Amino acid sequence: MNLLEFLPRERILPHLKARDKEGVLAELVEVLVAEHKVRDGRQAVQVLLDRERLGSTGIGEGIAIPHGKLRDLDELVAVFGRSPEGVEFDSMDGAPVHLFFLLMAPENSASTHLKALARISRLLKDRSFREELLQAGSQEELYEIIAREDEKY
Amino acid sequence: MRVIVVGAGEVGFHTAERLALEGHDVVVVEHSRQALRSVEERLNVMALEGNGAEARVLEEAGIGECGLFIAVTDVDEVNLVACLLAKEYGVPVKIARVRSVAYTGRGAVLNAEKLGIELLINPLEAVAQDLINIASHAAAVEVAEFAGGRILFVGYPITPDSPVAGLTLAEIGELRTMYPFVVAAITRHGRTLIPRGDDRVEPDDHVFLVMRQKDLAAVRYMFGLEKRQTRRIFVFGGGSVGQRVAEHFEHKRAEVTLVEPDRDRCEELARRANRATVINADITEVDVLLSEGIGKADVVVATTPNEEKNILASLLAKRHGARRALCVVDRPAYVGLVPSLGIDACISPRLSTASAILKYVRRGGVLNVATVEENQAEVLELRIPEAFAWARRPLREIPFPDGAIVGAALRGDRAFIPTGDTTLDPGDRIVVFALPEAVVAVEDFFGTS
Repeated sequence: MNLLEFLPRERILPHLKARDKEGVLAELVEVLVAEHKVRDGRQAVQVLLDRERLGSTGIGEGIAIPHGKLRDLDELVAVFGRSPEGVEFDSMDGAPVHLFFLLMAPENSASTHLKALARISRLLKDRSFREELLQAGSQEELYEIIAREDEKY
Repeated sequence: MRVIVVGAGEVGFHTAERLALEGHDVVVVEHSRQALRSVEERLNVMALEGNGAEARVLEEAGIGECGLFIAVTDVDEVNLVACLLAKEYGVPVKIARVRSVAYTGRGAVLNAEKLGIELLINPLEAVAQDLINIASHAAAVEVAEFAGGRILFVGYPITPDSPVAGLTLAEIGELRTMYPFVVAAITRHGRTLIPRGDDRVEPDDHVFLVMRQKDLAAVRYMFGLEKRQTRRIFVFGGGSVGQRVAEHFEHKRAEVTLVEPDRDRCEELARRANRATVINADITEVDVLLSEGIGKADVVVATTPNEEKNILASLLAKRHGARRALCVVDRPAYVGLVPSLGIDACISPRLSTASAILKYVRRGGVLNVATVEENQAEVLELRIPEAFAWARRPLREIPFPDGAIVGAALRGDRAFIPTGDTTLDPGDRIVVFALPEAVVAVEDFFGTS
């Protein structure tokens, strides 16, 4: 499974503006609403917040992988956002989050949802990949870095 | 090791017999001359007449050298006082059978920890608790608590549409920062295996996890079970076990229907019930059960003393639409049969009580034990001894016995899921899953045998 199958270029956001958890989730979901992938943005944010309540998806090292399941979604979709300032996300290591991989799956997506999550987690274990994502300038540059890493495995 | 067993009733007799066979130096203390005579005649132990809650009698029994003290008379208070005395004499492991839920129920004012007794066993409570655990963990086939409830061992059956069906263990491992647990074992086609990274979870597997209690909600989410709750429950049989189960779910605001064939007992249950519906009927009267909505039951728990009827009623309930059925069955032959019939889980009072005591006893350093799927494998809670040869070495470097896996650990008050970098330090409590052939190796490894 490759990340770029569900993360096209236009869903890569180099400069997230939101400064809190709910705000940043809304900002990421907004991309999917604009694309008509998600109908009800507020509901989607709620689904993500409900999931966060079970335990933060801020896995440390400045990374969060917020995720959730939505009934009226046709396919697995991801959004990547970078917050240069960092967002407080109740991370496991307590550090602010800079890199967000949002993942939303249809309710009945069986194992694809978890396989995608595993894929993202695996890629993000690579320290130099994380560094590159933090250093990169434009959307295009971020896309290239992700594409290169995605092909490695 | 010197073992003192106070009380020569059925459990005491059986326990003394087994321990003597294993070569322990067993002393049975019993006040009834008749019971004592049968011990003298049939067992190779020392029999001592007297009250086990008296210091003088215990001294006569050699309490000074006693390594294990088991109090299983019919009287709770005698058992507790006997164990407290044993504690004063410095006996390292004390076990008391208590029937009153006052000591073993949730929120008990005096519990095992406060009394300083290693294990309190309430046979009916143990059965009721097992039933409650499995019934409330919707979709779980097996639940056991360790480290005072902070660590759980849970078995889930995998359906074809399960989110984890098709995932490799390596993929599950990638998710451990968000979903921290260890897949201790998978049972597949009646065989139990400890999976490796390239093994895959398949439909119809039973997957056994060790996790922290606080991660349960997240894990249930991952397994796609977050919306399945036990809302409607039918309890067959209003004896003490059935009543206990019904009361538990009443408190949880579930819709409880209690079915009891005896009219007088029904009236008493109805008087004591808060919200539960009490039905006076035979548990196999399908028409009555259907009109009470058995077809919409999330779970049916059959607890009558008649085990054949429990099995039959469970099957009928499932046939008519009940989602899950658990049943109390005591005969070993039935215990093995029940899963193959399509009943989701069965609990055996005799097995759970007798083996709980014996297993605890057989291993000095083992704090708690649960058995899995008809005793095929065991989950052990152990304390790392001071002299542990591999202390403070990362887990990946430790030649851990084959057929066993460390599921979780407790250091002080903090429960955690170990990784290859984790060290095991003296005083840590760890939960280990072991296939039957590996149990002895695990005990030897940790010096607890």
